Amino acid sequence: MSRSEILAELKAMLAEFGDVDPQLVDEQTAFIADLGLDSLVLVRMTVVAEERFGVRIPDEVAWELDTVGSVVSYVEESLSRRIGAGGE
Amino acid sequence: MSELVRFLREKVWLLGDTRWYARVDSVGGELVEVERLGYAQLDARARAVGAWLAGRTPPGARVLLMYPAGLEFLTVFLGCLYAGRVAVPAPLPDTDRRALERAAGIIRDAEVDLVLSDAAHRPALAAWLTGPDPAPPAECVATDSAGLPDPGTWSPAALEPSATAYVQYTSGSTSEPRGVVITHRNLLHNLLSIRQTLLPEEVLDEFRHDPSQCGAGWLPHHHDMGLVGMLLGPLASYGNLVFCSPVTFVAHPQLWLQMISRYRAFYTFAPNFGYDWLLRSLRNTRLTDLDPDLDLACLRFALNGAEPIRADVLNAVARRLAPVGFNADVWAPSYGLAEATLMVTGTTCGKGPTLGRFDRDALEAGRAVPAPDGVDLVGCGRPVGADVRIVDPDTAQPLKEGHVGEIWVSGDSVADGYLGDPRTTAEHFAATTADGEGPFLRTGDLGFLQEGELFVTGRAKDLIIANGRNIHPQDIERVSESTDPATGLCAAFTLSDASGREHIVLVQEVRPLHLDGRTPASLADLVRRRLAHELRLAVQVVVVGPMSVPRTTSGKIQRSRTRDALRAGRLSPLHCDLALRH
Repeated sequence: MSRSEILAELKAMLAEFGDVDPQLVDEQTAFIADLGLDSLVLVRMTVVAEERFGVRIPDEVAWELDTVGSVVSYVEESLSRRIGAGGE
Repeated sequence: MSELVRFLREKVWLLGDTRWYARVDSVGGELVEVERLGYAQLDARARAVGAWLAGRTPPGARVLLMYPAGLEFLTVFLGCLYAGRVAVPAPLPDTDRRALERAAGIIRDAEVDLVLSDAAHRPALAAWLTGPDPAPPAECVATDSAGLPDPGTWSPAALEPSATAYVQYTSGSTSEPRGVVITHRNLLHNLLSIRQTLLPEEVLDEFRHDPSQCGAGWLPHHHDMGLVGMLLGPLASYGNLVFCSPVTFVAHPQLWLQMISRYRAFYTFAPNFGYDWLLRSLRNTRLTDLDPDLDLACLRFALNGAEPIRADVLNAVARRLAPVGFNADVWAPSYGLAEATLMVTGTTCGKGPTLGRFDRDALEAGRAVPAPDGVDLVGCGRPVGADVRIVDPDTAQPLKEGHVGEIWVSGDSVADGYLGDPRTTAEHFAATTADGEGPFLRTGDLGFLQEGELFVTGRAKDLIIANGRNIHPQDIERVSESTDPATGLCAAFTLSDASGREHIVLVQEVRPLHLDGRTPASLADLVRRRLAHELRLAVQVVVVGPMSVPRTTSGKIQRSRTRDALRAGRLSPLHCDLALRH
């Protein structure tokens, strides 16, 4: 999955679960400080992101991922690490 | 044997494994049952835990329980009751970043030497407990791999009703945890009172004779409603329970509906935010797409409690779910708090909710006056084995029906007090009315009685309730004040918008000398981001000049006066995140 594909999927999730217009989202967008998402939406998005991207996002990591770009990078790295380690 | 343990084990002798507890999960969008134990199996494992605890801890020892949602927690909790050891349930750190900090506070406060968990979580907990960090020394054991003794080696502990059953950590800001001491008498009394008030005799008979009656829920077991209401309630009233973890519910809200439908649940229960979250998550969904066989006609009792109850949420959920058989008469609002074990007032099954409209100005002046265009309030039912009074909080004068005052409670469900804190215990648990009656528990909540039914008009002073989290304004203020040299004193509170939805607002004083050419708007942005990062809260920030936040003569900030001043346009903000309506 490329960086732009991950970003597109994340924007789709924000629209589906947070009612956020994808036009308003870029990599700098912060989930709480900019979009005002509440903790329920964030927990739901974290679990669904794990399922859709096939990566583990431990809670102590999730807490630090406060912008769209940080999630994209985390997912990208996790996926490439897995391929590097002979996964998939 | 303790009367409480006898009461619980009586159900095991009567019903054996014909009744059960089951946990489900969502796997690829499908409901999957992942574990199940019958009453007798549960009892056997609890006796094994009891025997094991008796062999390695002194009577009355406090034991911290840090478990994921599941039946291992329930068996160990019962094992503690069986052995006369005091369970202290606490959340695992993976549900909340501050949970470790909180657990460290609890270990210190409750003088815990032993932490119990499961094999999956023990390594991380043990590393933390032996590490250099803040954890006080305590041993961590995984009960699911501990090699427990034979259940037959357990012998009942002789316990007085006044013996401590468990400690429920509840209110109190992160830095000062507050443990409510619940006795065997409290728990037995509340379980029996809930059963008697909520379940009419004929419904209880159905439960006694029909092995298929089931409850469905997803509450965390370290909260009073999850522990007493969800996990212990079924044992007390001969029922089965299907449940999932709170995180599973938040991630897959529709699983709640599937549990009710698939297991033909008779009852369910949640705080207001749970029903609201379900509604929000269903916004873009067709119910029949979810599950073509979804059918909620089995549901005859839907408890709503532990948080302010909103009439618009009750109505909207009922409307949304009506096509799949949800009946608005099943709503059962209730009121309670951990200091009274769980429930104080509740609505009998089959009765339906009481909705009322009251004049807003009269309410603010302390009178409940029905008005067709007034504020919607939901009645929280009648006292559940408790004596409930409405009292003037300043004069301690008891007030008549229709007058708003502080809710005071007495009865056998009211706890002994806070662990190791006689001063706060005396403040909260030993109130006497002006005419000399008492002792009463002061709930700090405001309300009135109408025809014997309790209406709650305001929750504990200053407490912020957001999505099932109880947030102390002090926690928000502490983070904000430490954000930047330019952030001075501040006050956090909630404000409702035109649609009645509550927002968290922080009025932040600026220290102009430390602004260094930055704008108030950029300071607000900094604070908003810091609060989002540290507390995971979306907060609207209002920046004001020095000495703008109202204070008492001793210099303490006054949150409700700050809110009033903001609403009345008396604050002259330098920056404001919200559009104010004057």
